[in-house]
Order: sequence, then structure tokens, then C-alpha cells
Amino acid sequence: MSLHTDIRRVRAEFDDRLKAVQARLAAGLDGSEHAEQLRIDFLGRKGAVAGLFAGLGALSPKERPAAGQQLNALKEAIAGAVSDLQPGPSQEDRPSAPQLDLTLPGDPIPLGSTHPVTQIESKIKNIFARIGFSIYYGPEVETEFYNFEALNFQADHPARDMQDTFYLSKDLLLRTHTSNNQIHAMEAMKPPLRIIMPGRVFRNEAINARSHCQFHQIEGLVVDRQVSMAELKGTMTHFARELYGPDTRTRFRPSYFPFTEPSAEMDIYWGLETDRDHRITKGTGWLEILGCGMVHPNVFKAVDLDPLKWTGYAFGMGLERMAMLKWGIGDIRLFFEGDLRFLRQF
Amino acid sequence: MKISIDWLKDFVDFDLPADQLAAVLTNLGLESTVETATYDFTGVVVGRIDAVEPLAGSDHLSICQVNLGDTVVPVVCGAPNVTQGIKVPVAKVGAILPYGVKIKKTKIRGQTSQGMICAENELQLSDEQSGIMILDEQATMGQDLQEYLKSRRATTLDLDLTPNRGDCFGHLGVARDLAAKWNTSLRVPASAITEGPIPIDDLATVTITAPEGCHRYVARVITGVTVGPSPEWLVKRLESVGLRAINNVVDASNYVLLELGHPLHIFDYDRLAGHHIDVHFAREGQSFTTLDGVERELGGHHLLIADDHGPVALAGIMGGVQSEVTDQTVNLFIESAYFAPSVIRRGAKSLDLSTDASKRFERDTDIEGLVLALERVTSLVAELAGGSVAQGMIDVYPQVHEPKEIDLSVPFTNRLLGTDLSAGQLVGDLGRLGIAATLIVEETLRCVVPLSRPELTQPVDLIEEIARLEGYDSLPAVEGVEVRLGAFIPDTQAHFSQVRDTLVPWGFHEHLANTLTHRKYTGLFTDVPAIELQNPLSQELAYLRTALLPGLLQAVVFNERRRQKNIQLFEIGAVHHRNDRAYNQTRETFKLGLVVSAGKGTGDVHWKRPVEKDVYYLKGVVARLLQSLALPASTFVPAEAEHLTSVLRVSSNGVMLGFLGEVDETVRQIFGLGNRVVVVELDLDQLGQLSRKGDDHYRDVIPYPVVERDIALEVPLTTSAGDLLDTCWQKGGKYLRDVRIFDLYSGKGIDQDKKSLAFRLYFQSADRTLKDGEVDQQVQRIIDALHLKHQAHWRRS
Repeated sequence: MSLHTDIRRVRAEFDDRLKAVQARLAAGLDGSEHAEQLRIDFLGRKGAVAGLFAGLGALSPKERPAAGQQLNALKEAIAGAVSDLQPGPSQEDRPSAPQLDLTLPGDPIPLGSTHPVTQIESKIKNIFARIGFSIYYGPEVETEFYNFEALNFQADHPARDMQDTFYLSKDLLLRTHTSNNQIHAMEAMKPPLRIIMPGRVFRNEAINARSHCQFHQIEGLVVDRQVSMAELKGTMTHFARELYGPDTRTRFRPSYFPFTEPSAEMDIYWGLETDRDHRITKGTGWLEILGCGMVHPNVFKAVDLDPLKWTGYAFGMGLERMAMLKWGIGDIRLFFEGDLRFLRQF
Repeated sequence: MKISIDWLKDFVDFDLPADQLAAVLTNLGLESTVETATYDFTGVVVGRIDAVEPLAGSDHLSICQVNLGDTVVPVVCGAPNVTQGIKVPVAKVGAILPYGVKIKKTKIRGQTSQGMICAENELQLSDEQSGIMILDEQATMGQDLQEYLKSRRATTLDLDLTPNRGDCFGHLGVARDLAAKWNTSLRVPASAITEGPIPIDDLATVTITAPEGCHRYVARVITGVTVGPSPEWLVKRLESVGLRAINNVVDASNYVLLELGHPLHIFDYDRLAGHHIDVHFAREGQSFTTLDGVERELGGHHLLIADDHGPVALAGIMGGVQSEVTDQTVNLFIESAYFAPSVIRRGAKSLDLSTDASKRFERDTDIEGLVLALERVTSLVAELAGGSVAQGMIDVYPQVHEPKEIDLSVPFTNRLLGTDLSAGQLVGDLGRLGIAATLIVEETLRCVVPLSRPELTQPVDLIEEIARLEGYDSLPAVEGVEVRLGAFIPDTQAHFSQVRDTLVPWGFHEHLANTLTHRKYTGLFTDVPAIELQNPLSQELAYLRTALLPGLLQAVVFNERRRQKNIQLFEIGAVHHRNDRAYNQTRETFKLGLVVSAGKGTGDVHWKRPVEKDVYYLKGVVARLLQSLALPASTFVPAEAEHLTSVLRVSSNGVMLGFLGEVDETVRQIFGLGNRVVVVELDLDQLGQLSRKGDDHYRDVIPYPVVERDIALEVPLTTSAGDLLDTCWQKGGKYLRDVRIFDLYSGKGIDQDKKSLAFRLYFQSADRTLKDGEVDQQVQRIIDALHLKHQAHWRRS
């Protein structure tokens, strides 16, 4: 309908603004910015002329060619007038390279990274999510009850030495493991439960290349009526194969955690090809990956679940340790320094 | 704990290489690794001192003629124990000793020395430095010392015992597990004691005043012993597991400790006042000087062994100085006792004194086995140091411990393990471990647990024993699992990964800072009450962080000092502050922190225009981030916040999410920042809640064209763009779809107290093409309102 009117309106607007710029130039003022703005407003990707071109679509196919010609004429006229104002591209826009050189590097596209511990964590979360685990979280500041007592750590028992603890008061501490979440989960929800629980944990240990006062764990808990050690073994083996490849060999051996009985540790066969392999596997070729076991009846009792009715298994693993193994990182402090030379590699 | 393979063979027969034995033990739950000796020296050989002469001009140096098998070389030596005929380690010229010390030919007081005779500490074999190391008489001259040492060394295993396996704190306990695994017999060490005529009751008496701390006390007396060096077999055994020989009495006691795992204490009988021992708790504040010469202040929970004058030992932890066995000792009083594990643990813990004895007592000991330990050590001392064993034994045992009986259900066992074991198999497995099991009713076993395994108290403990013996690896593993759909719960932190996925492509790197921080950082960006640690590692790490920004700023400085450019970091993590209403007296909030080192993107290519990193950049980042999380009505309102300049308060739907701005000069100085830094910290918990309620509906794509109008306005410098935008929206009518500011200018052509802002208005109707006229009218209304409210002057150009 009124494309014609639009063209005339745009032309009039342009002439107005052109005159203003010409006046500036005539008065000896710097008009380069104004000229540039003029170009952007009318010839830019979202300029007035482009707007008119966009309107072509609304026309019938019959009207389109003629209208297109008119628009092209307008565009050329405006382009000519603008380029008369500016002898060349503005200083800022002009590439300093004198001519097209496609061997110049591409634009520096920014790309950050997620933390290696986050990467391992989400990998593990995904593996367990695929076999029906949900995710649950618990607090970092914890009471004696949730961190120790309910987990069958008795007072004055050497098991407490397994975890050096930061205390905030007589009864309050920083959790030493994510196992506190087991208790919270069983208090908050009725079984059946099938959850993993990631989080940051703390140990009162000197900071050096091999130990740190904080690290991250993922805990797992399954409670149901017929959960067996055979299910624990099958599930953990599946997990190891998902994470380390389908040919991964696993080994289970007895261990001790106050909150599981029987308790086990799962090793994977890492190999003995390099000096590093020998060192990290203490010459055995086997590498400890996670601790696990059947939920101790005392733990069920602490959350008022009948240990004759319910059975369950739990497992836990350290994420920094897994990241160090995966990427061959030798110093745990690197995870918490924020060194970009480190972070940029992930 | 170190275990000697030879020693194990005293009790159980096997023929396995060390690494395979370690694997068997590891699979039994006794994690073992083979100890491999590594030596940090080369070029050291066995030599014999053929001649020793004092070195002229020195009062302590000698010149030795050392026979290295093929040559004899002169070596100057200053050790007091250098003697003709002994065999010694000789570092030849060219040898390299620990710490990279290289041996060269030298001249000492005019005498050429071609090498060095070494002490053990110089080779890092031990701390021994009182004299040169003396080798075996049979050693071959010229043999490399490493070969010599390896050939003499018994192979040992390093056992990493879990706290529940106190029974394996001696070789016999380890052998017992092996015998059970292999179903072979165990040789329990015998003791043959020839008693003298004097009844022990005539020589000593024992009373227990604190039976809750000491459940049993047995003792023997030996008179007329000769304290002296131990025979070589004993010295070697002790050395093979890293213990140094002292004298025959102490060595015998250590030997039995390592053999049976039960700690013993031997007193000098003549120094026990009244020849009477009483076991009681200390008085609060009582002091006692232990064997190591340290005077310790005790509490009422410390258990004491006392004679008629006072304490002679800290029960189960350490003896005292004045009753210690010395070279002059002739009569011995030997104690073997059972102390309550928790009493010993509390006592040792409060003194921060962990000893071989306390470690064993706190893991619980064998209240019956302690008699065997006493008999073993008595016969060994009598054999090594002579003397006469008094007739009989003192045994104070107020409340006899009975072996525990545990009823084990066969079906429950199979249900828990996923196995199909018969009652007979279970009886067999338990029997091999010394647990007598009998079928009492159908499918239930009554199991009698020997007192040597006090930690087995529940059916599940027995199930673990069965699993251990069967071998965890031979237990079945399921091929499939049942997923219960009803057990699914939503992930309350699902938006965390969305945040990461959004920020990473913009060049932000994720950082994880320490939760523990210095007090000075806790009050910077917030005034919530911070939480302090009672036992921090250092003042630097004594508080829980109250904000993420300090940790991020520390990382910025870390990177600035390493000349890193384009520093853009973020962290997702918990911050804490005191909240007495919560069960853990803490409010834990998850935050998102972002820091950007301000300025032009340094290191970018120069022919492209780099993006200026400033508060506008970060505002753009946050606006887009909130948009990607479908947050409703996000607003950025200029505000004030401590330690920030150019501050914006970020809210959504009226809920405050956090502050954005540039850190001020104070903060820059506290952290030592070089660059200007823009930061923001947002409440991720709130963000998650808003996001779940957020506006994420699809809107139909409109087929009608968008009409654009540009207007340039001249406004006073102080007028805020935000207010102008608000007015545009208020007066924009129902077809205004968007308003964007595309130019900001002040300078030539504009009054000094004015600035020019250019707006682009987008109009669109959902059901028709808008007419120019109506759009122009609407634009005019907007312009009029802007003029009226903000004295905006329309620049028609």
C-alpha cells in the first residue's frame, strides 16, 4: 500500500539529517561521528532502509519487483550521499591489515571453563542419574549427631581418628564427610531411597600437595526391602565401567567404616606401565576408587527404621582424588587457588 | 604396622612370594603393601679395616688401611669405634651419598684419604651417628653395600590396619586370619616356665580400686635376672620390623608385643614401694613424670598404676621414670593387664600421647590372651636373662568376661549378601575363625565369639566375617537393578549447572575458593555474624566465609601477580553465618560470585574493537544470565553498598538478589589488587526459587512487521536513562514491544550540561500491520511525556 509514502518519508528524513551534518562540516566542526550515525541509522543492518526492505514481504508477489527496484534506488542514493560525506571507513573500523589476508588469526572468541571438580561431579551425577538415582543435598556445618553419632561413630573410639575434625563449638563441626546426608535423607524421606549426595567436606589436615583442609565427595545411598551386597557390587562395577571404560576391572576388599557392615573398598585395575602407575598403586596395579558397604543396623536405628525390614547400601568417593587420577594432577592445592593457567586447561 | 614374613611363618605354613601374600591379606581386609627398600647412595662397598693408626697432629682422627677386596686404600676416619679387623661401609672416591654429597680424594693434615667410612645416618639407614656402621663378619669385601643390605633384610609388609582390627596388631593375629583363609592349622607359641620355690604372694600384691578402668590384672615376679644385650636372633627380629634392641628384658617385652599384640609392662621390682600395685584413677591435677622425662598434669579420667608411694605408670599408655628397668635391675615385676579401651583412648587423647601400648589398648585387647602374653614374656626373660620365676601368678579379675553369644539368621545372611550359602557352610566359615556356631532352631545359628575378637558384637559383624572368608570377589554381583519411580526427588540445585553453562561461553572460569578464611575478610561485603573455628589450622583459615567475593578477589590477585590477562572468574558455593534458630545454628546460603578485571580486553587483537569490561559489561552479563534463567522482571537500581562504587542493586520480582559494582579503594588495598575489578554476588537459592516460578512461556511468532522509530533526545546530564526508559514504557501504548538505547553522546554540538541519548522504539501489533500515522502519534506522545517529565528536548536534526 504505502511503501511509496514510506520511501518518501525516509528520503525526507535522510535529507534533513544530511543537511545538518553538511552544515557541521561546512562550519569546520568534526562531523565524522554524525556521518557514521547517519550511515548506521539508514544503511545499517537495522537501519531505516533495511526496515523498508523488511516490509517487502508484506506485499503481494506482483507488487514486489517494482517496490524492490524503488528501494534499491533509494539505498544507492543514500549510500552515495553518505560516502560523499566520508572519504573512507572511519579510523576505528578500518582494519590495520592493508588487504584481505585470510591467514590472519580468527577473532578471539571467549570461552571459560567449569572447574575440574565440577566436571567430575557432573559426570558421576549423570552416570547415577541414568540408573535411577536422585540428587539430595545437606549442610556443611553439622552437629556431632549427624556427622558421627548417628553414623555409629562411638565417642572415644579410634574410628574418630580416621577424620580430623574442625569444631565450631562443643557440638558443632564442619562435616568431615558427606555421610551426614544419609541421616538427613532418611529423616526427611521414607524409603525406598535411591540418592546421591555431593558436597564439600572438611578435615583438620595441614595443606600440602597431597592433603587439603577441604575437598569434595559424592555419597550414595540406596534403601529398600531387598537390597543386597550383590546389588552394591553390581552397581559399583557398572559405575566404574561407565567412568573408566567398559573393560575396567574392579576388585572389592574388606574395609572398615563405622556406618556400614560389611564394609568394602572398591579398587580398579590401573595397570603398571609407567613409574607413575607404580607409585600411585604402590606397586600393586590396583587403585582405590571408593568406599562402600551395607548400611549398619545402628544407623537404621538412629533414624527409626527397622533394620530387619529395610536393608541398604552406601558408598562414597573423593572428587579431587578422581580428578587427580583422570588428569594426572599431582598437587591438590591447584584446585583451590584459582590459577587461570590451571583452570584454562579444563 | 610392619609385619615380617619370616615371623609369620612361625605360626602358619605357607610358601608364597611377598606380593602374593600381600594380595591375600589385602583381600582379607588387612591392606598390605610389600616394603621395598630404596637406598639413596651409590658407590658404597664393604671394606675391612686392616690397620688403624692415629693421625699425626690430630687428637681424634685415625688413618685406616681399608681393604676393598681388590685394593687397599688409606681413609681418614674420626669415629670413636674404628677398630682393626671390623668390616664397614666404605664410600669410594666418586661415591654419591644422600643429599648429593660426592666423595672426593682429599688431603687431611697432609695425609691422603681416598674415601669415607660411613655411619648409618650418613647413609640414611637410621639416625645412628655415634660411630661408624659395623657390618657382619661374613660380609664379602668389595660387595656393593646395597646388595649386602638387601640380602640381609627380611621381607616385610606394611599393614594399614583399620580401627576394627585390633586383633591383628601382632603377628599371631595376622597368622590366625591367614590360617582361617587357607583352612590350615595355626601354631600358637608355647611357653615353658620353671617356677622357683617362693610363692608370688609372698613377694607382691595387686589391688584394683578402679575396676571400670582395669578389668583384669595379671603379674609375675622374676628374681635375680641379669640385664644385658639380647642375642642376635632377637636383635635381628626386632630390627626387621623397625625396632631397635635395648636390653634383653625390654626386648623380650617388645618381642611379645609384636608377636601377640598384647602390651606388657615390666617394672623394677625393687623400686615398687611396698611391693604392692594398685590401679586407680588419678586425682584431678595430679602430676606424673613419664618415661620420656616429661612431667604431665593428669585429669580424673587418667588411670594410674601406683605403688604405696604413688604412681609408677600411666596405665596402658606409658611407664614412669623411677620404676624403669635399668642395667642394674635384678628383680622384675611383670604386668599384663586389660584396660578399658575408652579410658585409655580418652587418657592418651587428652595428653596427646599415642604409644604402641595405647594404640593397642584403645582398639580393645584379648582379656584371655593376656595370660599367654605374660607366660610368653616370663619364659623369654627367664631364658635370656636368667633368674628365678616366683611360684604362681597374680590374677585379679573382678568380673569375668564371658564370650559373647550372637544369634545369626541364615536367611538374613543370604539376603544381605545376595548369596545362597547353607547353614553348614556358615558354620564351617565361622569355625575356621574360631567362632563356634551351632544350629539352635531352624535357620538360626548360635555363635560363640572368642574373647580375642571383642569387636564382633552383632549379626552383621559375623556376616562380614563370612564375606571376608568367602572372599568379597567371589560374592555374586547383580546384572540389573530395580528402579523405583516413586523414589525420585527433584534436584534443588539444577539451576547451578544452567548458570555455569551460561557463563562459560562468555569467558568466565569457575573457581572454588577455600570456605575457611581470615577474619578480616568476613565483614567486607556483609555484616552478618561470622562463624569462628575452635581449632583452626591458622589465623588465615579461622572463619567460615560470609561471602564469595573475598575468595574470588584473592584469586584475581593471584592471577595478576602471575601476569594473567582477561581475568573473569565465578564461583558457586555456600557461605555461612550464625543463625541460632537453625538446628546447626547456621544459615547456609548458596551464592554466585562473579569478578571481572576491568578495562579493555588486554591481549585481544588490536584491529578489532575490544569490549570495555566495566560495570555495564557485568550488568549485561547478569541481565542476560537472569533472562536465561527465565527470571521475572529483573531490575537494576542504583544503590549504595559497602566497599563498592558504581553500585546497582539487582532484584527480581521485588526480591533482592545482590549487589553489583566496582570494588573501592579500601578493598583494592586490602587485597593488593592492581587492576580495577567489577564484581557481583547473587543469592542462588532465591534465584532458584524465582526461576522455578519464572516466565518461560512461548509466545506466538507475529507475522506482522515491526515498525521502528528512532528519536534522539537532549537531556540534562543528571537525567538517568532508566527514568527515560520507564517513561517510554509508560507512554508507549499497547504496541510498544521494545525500547533500546543505541547512542549516548556529549561534547561538541551539545550544551555542556546536556547529553544526547538516542532511542530506538519498536512497535508491533499481534493482529495487523500498524499504520505509520498511529505509530507517529504514539511516538509523539512519548516525546511529549519525556519533555514534560524530564525536560527532554527532541533533536530533530
